[in-house]
Amino acid sequence: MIIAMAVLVTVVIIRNSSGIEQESVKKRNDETGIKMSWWGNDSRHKYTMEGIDIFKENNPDINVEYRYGEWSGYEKRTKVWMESHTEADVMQINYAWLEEYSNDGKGFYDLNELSDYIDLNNFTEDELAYGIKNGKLNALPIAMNTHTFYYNQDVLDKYGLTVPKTWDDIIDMGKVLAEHDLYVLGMSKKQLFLMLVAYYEQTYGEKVFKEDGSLNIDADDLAHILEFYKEMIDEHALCPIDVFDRNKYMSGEIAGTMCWISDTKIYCDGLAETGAKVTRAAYPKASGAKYSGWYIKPATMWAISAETAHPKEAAMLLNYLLNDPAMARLQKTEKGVPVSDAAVKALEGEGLFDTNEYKAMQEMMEHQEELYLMIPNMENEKIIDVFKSEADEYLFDKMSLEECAQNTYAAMKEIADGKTPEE
Amino acid sequence: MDKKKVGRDNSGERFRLFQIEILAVLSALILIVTAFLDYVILKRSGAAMRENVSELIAANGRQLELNINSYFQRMETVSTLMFSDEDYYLYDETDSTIEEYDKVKSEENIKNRIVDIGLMENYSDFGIIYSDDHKVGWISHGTQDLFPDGGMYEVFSGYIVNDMKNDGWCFGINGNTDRMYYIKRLNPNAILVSSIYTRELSSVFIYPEQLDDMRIRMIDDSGKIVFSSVSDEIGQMLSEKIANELKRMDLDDNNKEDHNISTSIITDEYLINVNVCSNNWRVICSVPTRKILSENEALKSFTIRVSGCLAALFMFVGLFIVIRLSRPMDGMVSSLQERAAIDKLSGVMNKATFQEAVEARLTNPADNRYCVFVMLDMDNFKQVNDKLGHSYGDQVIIRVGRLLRRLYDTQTMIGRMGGDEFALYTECIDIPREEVVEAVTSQMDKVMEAFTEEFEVERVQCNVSISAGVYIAEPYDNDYSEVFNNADKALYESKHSGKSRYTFYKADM
Repeated sequence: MIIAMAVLVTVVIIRNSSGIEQESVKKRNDETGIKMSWWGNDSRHKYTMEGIDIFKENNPDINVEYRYGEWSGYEKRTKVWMESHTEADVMQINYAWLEEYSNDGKGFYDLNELSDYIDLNNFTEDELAYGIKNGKLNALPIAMNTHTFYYNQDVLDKYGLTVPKTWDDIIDMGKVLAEHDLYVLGMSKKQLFLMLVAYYEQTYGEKVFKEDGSLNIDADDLAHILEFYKEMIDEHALCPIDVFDRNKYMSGEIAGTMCWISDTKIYCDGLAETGAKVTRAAYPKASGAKYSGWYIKPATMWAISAETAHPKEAAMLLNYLLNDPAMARLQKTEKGVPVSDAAVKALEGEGLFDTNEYKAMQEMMEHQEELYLMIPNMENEKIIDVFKSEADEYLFDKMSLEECAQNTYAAMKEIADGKTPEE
Repeated sequence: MDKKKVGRDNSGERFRLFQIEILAVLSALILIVTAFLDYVILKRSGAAMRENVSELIAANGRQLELNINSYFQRMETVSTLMFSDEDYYLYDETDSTIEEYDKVKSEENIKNRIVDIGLMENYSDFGIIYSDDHKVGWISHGTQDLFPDGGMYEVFSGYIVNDMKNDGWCFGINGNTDRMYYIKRLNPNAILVSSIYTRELSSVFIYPEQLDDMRIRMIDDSGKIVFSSVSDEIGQMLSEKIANELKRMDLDDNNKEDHNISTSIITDEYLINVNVCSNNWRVICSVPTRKILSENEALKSFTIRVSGCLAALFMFVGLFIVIRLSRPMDGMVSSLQERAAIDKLSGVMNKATFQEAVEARLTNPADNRYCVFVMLDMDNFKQVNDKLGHSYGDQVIIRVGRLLRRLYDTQTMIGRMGGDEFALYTECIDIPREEVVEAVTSQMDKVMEAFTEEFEVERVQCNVSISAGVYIAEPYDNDYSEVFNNADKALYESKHSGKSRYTFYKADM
């Protein structure tokens, strides 16, 4: 009996003192891996990655891999993913892609089914409506976005100019600046296209796109747009987009720019950092315009892949991206003023609304009745690409206006009507 | 009686002590042997563990190097796709003879190519920079902002160090540490620049069996940390301690340019493994040596505890066995002793033992003690032998011994002095002499009565009775012979006074 007890005590001592076996036990990796994708600039990449790190810290059983890139080419990248069924679980999408990939509402996950994990109470019915396709809540808006104009006041002052209010003002300013080999405006390809749409709709009282995305104009109408485009280039009212880069605006070679409000930081803050005075300007208008010609849209949206294997985890991440105060404080107003009430509350608490984006958005919202909801095809990169490419033929005098207008119209129409343009 | 007992106990105690000593020596021996074996085994296992961990880290370090080389290779390969058509790589934007329209179309073509080949990568930059700093493709604002005064082309061109491939890698450009660049020359006036965020590398440097406290770093040619598993370190110079060890390894390693060599070193502080990447940057895995040996230390502690427990268990079990074994042994020894000390027939002490025991008591006199010495002798015992036989006589002796043992407590020493003669010795402490006399008288009456009763048959047949002489010694009487003689004189008096009685010694006897 005593020996048995002694042996038992010894076994217990040995067992209790044996930490080696326990230490050598390796934890099995039970992480759930999800993917996420977005496009944007450097600052967006950085804060998004920081935000994901925080999410992963708070959810150690969820691993988030990410894909990101510049906007340019990103649409093509998304096309590859969507068509090859390799898209990320959580995707930043453009408003126009709802139409392109989920016309029937089945292209993305119905977020209503994930309302246990996503706090939809942070959005109004109207805000949710932006992401609804065929009755399915396919995406949630991050922020609202529209265009804004910024001018380098120092350049205007230097040449005795004032902020232009009409298209004619811009052309006239160009004539002045051309003498100094400067330009009035510089912008990206998409902004240019949308500016020309605004010009046309104001000037000719006719919408360029119908509500269903098809073209509402003909080749003759397009000729007006091309003509004005060439005039702007020739008169130095617009810097050729192939030559434009942000540094030209920063250095004063270009007096002003048109950009998304969400890109304010890049253009406005960047210029202010050089010591220049930045002036935000109202949209140029044509006298007696029937339509304002300017549009508003959800800046970007978050959606979940319809084929995700981990809807719960994807929903948790999506909720974090939209509604979590930590993410809101990282994102600030980089994507525009957030739509989510929770995000707005977090930013208000931090006093983060004293930004140029916020001021620009406030001003735009005051004139919201003049803004139309953007028609997805207005941002269709293929349409914009063929417009630019065909327009070059006319700009460089390789083709007559009429011929160019015919070609451009035909190419744009094919895409707008859902046909692949001939290469 | 006490003396006899003490003597017997001392012998048993000595025997037990001897047994315990043997047990202790054996346990100590086991402990020493175990400790020696532990030392040898742990020493060897420590060395083996160092070697195994070193090999494991070397293997994993090598794997990491292959991973990052594969990553580098992919970036380089994507860049080489720009050479698929002369229109992409021979275009020179600075060539003033090219018409503006052609430039626009060429750049559009190149831009599309860049989008196509860079489509699936997480590039933070992927574009062409011409010698007038004109850019085509994805050259991020972050990179452009590093060159507020221009000079982008010149700076990046300076990092093309591989003359064969016309390419190079760089990090820390103008203080930027969040991305690393790959530069490939396309033509004398154009370079392709691609970059990724260094934090992207965390997916490359996945170390499945990573030890706690192990750090994975990648350093560039200058020793600047391009990537670290502790992100705060990125952009800093490698710590002096590890940098010094690397220098030492470089000196020891003649093949440092050989990319297939994985070098490891173990110092008192670190185990360091170094692998050279395809662009001569280095992947360094380091882990504090104490961390590697922590498991061995745990093993050592475990082994010592187990050895201690086993030795303690051995002692405990041994002690238990000794106790169990010593009981019959003790009994056997006691029996032997008793056989020497006790009269075989009567079961009381033999004469010599009795004398030794009584002498021992007498030599320790005490003021408050009276020693009572009684001599007993059977009357007419010879007739028992003659009439009933010697065997019967022996039985009578046995019965006398048994009777006396029954009548007296264990504090009274009883001895057979020879034939039919017995002696008793007892001590009365803190009792006045008168009371002693009274008590002895009472006891002797009992003895006489009990004897008569016990030997009624023999009294009838052989006229057997018993006579006794009692001597109550003074406290300081310490001479056995005198005590014995005085009692014997009293016995003699009983015999000559008619037998079957007891007599107290008187001085005039």
